[in-house]
Amino acid sequence: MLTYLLRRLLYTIPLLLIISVIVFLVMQLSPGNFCTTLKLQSEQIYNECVERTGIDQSIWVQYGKWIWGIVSGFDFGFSFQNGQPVMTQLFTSGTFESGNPLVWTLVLSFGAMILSWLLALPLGIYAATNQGTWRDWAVNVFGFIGLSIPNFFLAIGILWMLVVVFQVGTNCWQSEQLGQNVCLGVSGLFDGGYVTASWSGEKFLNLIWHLWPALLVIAAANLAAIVRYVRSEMLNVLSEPYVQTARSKGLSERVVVVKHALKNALNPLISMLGYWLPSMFEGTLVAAMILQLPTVEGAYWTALRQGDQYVVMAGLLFFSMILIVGNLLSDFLLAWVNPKIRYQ
Amino acid sequence: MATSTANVQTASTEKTATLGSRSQAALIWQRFKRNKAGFIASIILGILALMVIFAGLLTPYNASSFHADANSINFDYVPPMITWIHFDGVQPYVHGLKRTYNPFTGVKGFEENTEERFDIQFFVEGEPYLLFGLIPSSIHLFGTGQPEGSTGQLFLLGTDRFGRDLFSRILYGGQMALGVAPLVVIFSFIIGIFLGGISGFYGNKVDTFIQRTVEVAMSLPRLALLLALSAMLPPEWPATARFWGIVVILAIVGWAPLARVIRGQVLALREEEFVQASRALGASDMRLIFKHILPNTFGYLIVSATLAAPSVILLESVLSFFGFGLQEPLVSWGLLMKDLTENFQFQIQFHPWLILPGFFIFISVFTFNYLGDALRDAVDPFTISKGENS
Repeated sequence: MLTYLLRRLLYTIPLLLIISVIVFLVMQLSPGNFCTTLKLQSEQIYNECVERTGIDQSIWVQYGKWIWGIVSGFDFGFSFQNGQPVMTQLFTSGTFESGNPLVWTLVLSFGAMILSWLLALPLGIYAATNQGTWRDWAVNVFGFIGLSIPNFFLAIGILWMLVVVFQVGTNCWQSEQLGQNVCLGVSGLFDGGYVTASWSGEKFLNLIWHLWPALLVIAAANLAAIVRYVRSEMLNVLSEPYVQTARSKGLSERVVVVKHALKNALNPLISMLGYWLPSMFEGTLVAAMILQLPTVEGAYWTALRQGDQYVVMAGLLFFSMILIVGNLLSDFLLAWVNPKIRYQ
Repeated sequence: MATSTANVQTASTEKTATLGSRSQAALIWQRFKRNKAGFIASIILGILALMVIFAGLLTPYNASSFHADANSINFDYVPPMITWIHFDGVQPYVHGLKRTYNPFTGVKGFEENTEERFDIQFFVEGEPYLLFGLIPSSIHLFGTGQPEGSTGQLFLLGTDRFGRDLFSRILYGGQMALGVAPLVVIFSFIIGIFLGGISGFYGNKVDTFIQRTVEVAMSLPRLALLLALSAMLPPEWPATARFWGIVVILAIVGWAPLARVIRGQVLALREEEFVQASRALGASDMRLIFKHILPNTFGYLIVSATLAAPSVILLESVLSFFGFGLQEPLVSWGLLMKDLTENFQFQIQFHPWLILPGFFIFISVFTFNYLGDALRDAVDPFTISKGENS
């Protein structure tokens, strides 16, 4: 097991290298010399840019410079917009409140994951135990709706509801903490003065108010998928003879379902955790783009619009790594929960 | 007389033959029909497809024609007029459009001018268009039949900021939104079948190499890469070139899982006796792959095509919505919603009908998902289709 894991880990190194080549080549397709825009500022900055990127040299020298920077000093290059290092731009810019991308990405992704499991498990179990009834059918339809609704459309729909139906823009109140009038907004993380205010119950509530649409949007697609998996796994397990035995012992249905069936139904689902990691990040990307969230995805999106090459390359590498780690994790979890699987 | 008895006889033997051993297609069809949800979904999808194909006939206007009043001021952001249709007996009519202005919010709008009345006519002469992109025609199923500049217009689902009819744009946009899916699926199938087939058939080094390639392709982040790739498309490209660029990009991102599925199928079929027999008869490798093995994976291919289509539709609309996909003058559902992204709060509050194209994306993806699910159940002989599954 350990050697298998080690081998898989080592295997990701060449994989990441190949991906870095692809990412680099993709970005090279973009027309024009990206240093030229800096020439307007000053000749010195332009020369510095040429020096650092090796743009006047062959493509492989450029790649070599870039990858050597990453390997030797974790230096992913710099942003053309403000000269910041990419790592700062993508992951650690800003404070916690004004939006530290990495922190908020983690909060949103894992928050959404927890939310989707909390909602999906009871729904899936409910559908499985009521198999064939209209309630099962309703859950099934709900699952398909969740799978089919484009998450950008869901985000817009929620915002539409908030703005038009509930008229949140007009909900203002006198805040005691801030000493000013505060109106609810729908994007970003905080309203008005809360960004710089010290932490309090009021501020926390405001944060939650801004987070729930994002969490719902990110969770929606996975929620539907998990409900479907839970349902089908539960159906499989519930038809096993040992469940019948448990029932014939006279155990209550609740004990049978929760203690006997659910445990075994969850095993294969745990391994799916890893697969859902990347799709979480995809959902966060869309949510960040619409709801203007200061996440890594949001920074990536900004960089993409501004043609900020190094940030985009680092972003692509980061997302690939999440994917690879996710796959690794799910393989590992699968072996861990299911002793029948053995790796040589 | 004698011939007719013979006919009856052959007919009856044929009947017993079909009853005894139904073809696989018939079995699949039978199983598919039993799945009510899937069946309904396919009907809805069919209607949607027909509406989109006959867009020229069904829409009162062309997709990119601007509409303005007699003073050449655009009919911008006219609200959906579907609720403004009145009936005089069986004759439907609409009132003329009148501009309004709210001095408090500064929002311009439109209301009905009850002094004017315009009958809705059927099969009315209107803007010329090409049906199916080929047949020139100017007959529209319905419309007011009023000349350009008249206040008697019929904007069923409202207009955008240039006074273009949203209903017409949605139907024309469906041609792109739904048309992209088959194209992308075909492209990624060509790559997937070719690589997956070779990989599964030859095994060993070729297999290892192709599988590693697939692994790399599957380790690339789909949406992020799509955005990056379409950002790379030269902005000076014309809209049609960009369309094909987007199709190719979507195929590049989507072929890998397909190749993996096909490889697994080929791997299993390779050892089957009928393949061995054909090989013993001296068939070439290509003949074995394309004549014997791939046709047997067809059921799975169709299912995976149907299951792949919705995600293509979704990805295209996400790309277009964020301005990285198709560009004007082409229309697609995602692109139609792009107007919302600028000044979002204002748009959503005062022009909420701009989100209507999203419902069409949702419905097509929803029905495609149901259809794919039903097809999978029908094709897979190992799923025991029980009544409660439908």
